[in-house]
Amino acid sequence: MTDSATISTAGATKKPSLTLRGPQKLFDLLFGGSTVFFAALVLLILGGVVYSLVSGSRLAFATFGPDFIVSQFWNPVTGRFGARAPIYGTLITSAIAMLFGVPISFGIAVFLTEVCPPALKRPLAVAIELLAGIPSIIYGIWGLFFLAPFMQSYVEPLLTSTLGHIPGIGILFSGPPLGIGILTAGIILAIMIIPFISSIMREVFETVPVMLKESAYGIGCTTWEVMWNIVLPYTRVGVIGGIMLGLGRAMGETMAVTFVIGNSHRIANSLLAPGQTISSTLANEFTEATEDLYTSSLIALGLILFVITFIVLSGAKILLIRANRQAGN
Amino acid sequence: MNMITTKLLGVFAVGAVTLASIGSAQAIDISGAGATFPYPIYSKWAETYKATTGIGLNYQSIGSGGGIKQIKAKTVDFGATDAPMTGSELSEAGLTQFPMVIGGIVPVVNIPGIASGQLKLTGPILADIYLGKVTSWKDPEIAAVNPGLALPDLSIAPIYRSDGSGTTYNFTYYLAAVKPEWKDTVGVNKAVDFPVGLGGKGNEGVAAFTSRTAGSIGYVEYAYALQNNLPFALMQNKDGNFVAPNSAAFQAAAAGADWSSVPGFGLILANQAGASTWPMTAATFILMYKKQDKPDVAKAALSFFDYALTKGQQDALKLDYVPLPDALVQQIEGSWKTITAADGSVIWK
Amino acid sequence: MATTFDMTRYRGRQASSKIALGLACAATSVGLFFLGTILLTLLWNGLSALHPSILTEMTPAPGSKGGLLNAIAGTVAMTAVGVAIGTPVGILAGTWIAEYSRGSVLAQTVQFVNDILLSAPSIIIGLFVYELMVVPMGHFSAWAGSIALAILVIPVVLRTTVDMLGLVPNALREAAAALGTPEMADGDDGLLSRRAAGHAHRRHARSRPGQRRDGTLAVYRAQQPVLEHQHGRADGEPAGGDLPVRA
Repeated sequence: MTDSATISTAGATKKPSLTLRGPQKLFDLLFGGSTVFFAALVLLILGGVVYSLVSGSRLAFATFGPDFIVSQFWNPVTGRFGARAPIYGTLITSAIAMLFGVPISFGIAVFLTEVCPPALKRPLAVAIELLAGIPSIIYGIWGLFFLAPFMQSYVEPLLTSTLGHIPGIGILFSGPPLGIGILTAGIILAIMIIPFISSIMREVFETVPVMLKESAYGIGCTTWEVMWNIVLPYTRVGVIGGIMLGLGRAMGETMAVTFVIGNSHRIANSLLAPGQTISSTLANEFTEATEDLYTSSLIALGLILFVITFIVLSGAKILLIRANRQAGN
Repeated sequence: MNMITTKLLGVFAVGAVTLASIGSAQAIDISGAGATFPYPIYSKWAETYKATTGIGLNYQSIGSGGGIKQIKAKTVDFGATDAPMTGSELSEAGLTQFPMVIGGIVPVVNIPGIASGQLKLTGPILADIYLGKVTSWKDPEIAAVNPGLALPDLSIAPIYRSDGSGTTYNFTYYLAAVKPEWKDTVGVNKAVDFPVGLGGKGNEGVAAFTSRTAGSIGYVEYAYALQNNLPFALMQNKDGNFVAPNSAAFQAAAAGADWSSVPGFGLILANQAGASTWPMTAATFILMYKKQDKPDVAKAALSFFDYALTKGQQDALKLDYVPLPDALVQQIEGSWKTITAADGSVIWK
Repeated sequence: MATTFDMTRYRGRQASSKIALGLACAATSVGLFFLGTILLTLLWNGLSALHPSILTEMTPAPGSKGGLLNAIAGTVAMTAVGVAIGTPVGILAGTWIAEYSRGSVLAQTVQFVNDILLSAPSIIIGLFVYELMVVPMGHFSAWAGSIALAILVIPVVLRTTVDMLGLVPNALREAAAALGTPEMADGDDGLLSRRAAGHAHRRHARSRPGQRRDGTLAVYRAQQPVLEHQHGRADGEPAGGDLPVRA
């Protein structure tokens, strides 16, 4: 019964598929042609952005040479600029953000896909996605009025009195608890990227075929083993993509960081000390920079941020290719 | 689908913030951009002026440097700056400059047990604090001018403006004027390389840090300190008197100044002589092209400034700004004779 | 003996699973605590300021009352224009990458470039649009703002499009699995020949049996060896590719 029906359907679809292919191909060609144009447009836009950055930063690099990247000077009065402090701040705050943001996001995604009662699932997911839509300046204000005092009164004294005594890493938690600084900026970044990463993770986790998970459960896997050994490897590309999106956002985030990082052009050993990121420097000083060299140095910072993003994304791509190859063996 | 929604929401939100500053650009006759310090009074004047004349003003408070950049790029009808341009800069760019309103910069402190107006500071002490040379409130230098005041043994946390600002310009100008070492090591600019301390974004950032960090000191616009009840310190002026920041003290600084001595009235009112002057007084300036491509718009702008300098004075006082002295207003309006249309005809009167 | 050993081990695995899930719950509560405070702060401070005049009056000067009409109207108008420009560009470009590009170097470049654009600070996009539009036009404009927004929208839409289209084969495969054999029957000659052709090739055929349905995906099929690299990501190794065949 089923077999004959199957065969007849198959026979029916086979013939017209041959005749339909012509016009469909034409449509495909036209549609494909227009899509390739827009894909090229994206390249063009980045080309434009990079061009404006390169041409804008030419003066700074011509004046300071490669020294610009390693120099710690940032003095608008004497016109000496160097990018070391902002680069350091960008990397450290992003690293802190990833350190806290990724595990928490993963936890949230696991909770939402595996643990959460179905009735709560939707509201929680929506609430988290809603938070991705809050303007970063709100996070900044919140950080200034809620997080910074909280860090100053509770977290930072605790860190100094505990981790601060460990030789070696103790220096990272030394200094007065200001509540403002690299650590607070990193934490606010972590909070900001959680909605992004966890939403993406949750979505890719839900693409895992139920059959696959049921099979794993069927052979006696625990929930965690299913998540760690089945779901995570299956969705690794999406997960890494989500993490990269979060990392990109953390590195480029501007206003929230500006409010809580303390905006000091010095590199301090302590994570509790004020610092500076590339984006916060741009946000702070761009509108007021009138001298050409000053403006050019700020644009050069923007270019460096682009290069850092490029390196990080390339690294991620290589990682993925490797992971894929390993999985293929 | 959800991610599209989510991320678009994110983008919308970014847009909302961008638009809040740009979005009011519709159907407006005069456009200006620049200093944030006079933004409240400019928008107040714009509102009352529109109510009486129907001519609107779109002022974007993007910062003094931004104001100079935008007028040079001719994207606005006038620029506004707290840091005056020099005579040579003005003539090079073909601009004319005149002051609009006066305000003061106030040191605000957070010292447990010390109320507003109790602490006395001198210019050199303030400079030493921001140089990192005076690090404790118990420092003998501070105790010397505060006899009888029980200051705690608390380290000083200097707070500065992280964003480039006219306030920082006037603040560092004053420190450089009273302390040669400041001039040599740090210098004067809208953003400088502060040797110590931490930076807050905008007046509100400085205020927030100051009010939350015991032992901190910051500097903010007077109107901001007043409206937010921030405890301030008294400052010693050039004549050696300790004065409190108020309109009268700012007015005294403005009255004693010889405005015609500098091209474009580009006078910085820091450290003016006089028994009751506030040492960190500052004016904010307007920049316009001498040759106007759009004479009708220029005329509208000048009419607006005329309104602001005469009828708008009461509004200024209400918002804790200080209006310019009458004699100065006469001089300013006289200087408008140099603003001409393309054919050389004088636009104002 | 063996049973007890297994039970102990099983209990241990159960315990570690419980601990891990407990940590997931903890992470969720930590995350939600912070996110909740932000949301509450926003609602708490925002709701008190909410008033009908927000929607009817212009932004006030200091000391006067007013609303946010111009800001809201500006937001709506510019966002609409920005999205109207950005969305089609993003979707079409994304469609090209996912469906037409055959995993070419250009496609990979565009996707890579797109990821960079995605994380570019908005201030840099602003700088670009400022030089592109504001300076040549001689004044700031809502159009310039809209274009800036469009440029911010494009990478988001493009990426999402690529991701979503990347999921299509999966869904179709599931659909095929649910339907059972018809597709297999359709491709029976192909399947058989592929079985002969070798294991790797067979996996391609099986992992995407549903794609032969329509024209777009027919193009796909021809490119499978190329696309496998790009789209195989969603399929992964232990994918149920073999399941429908055996069913």
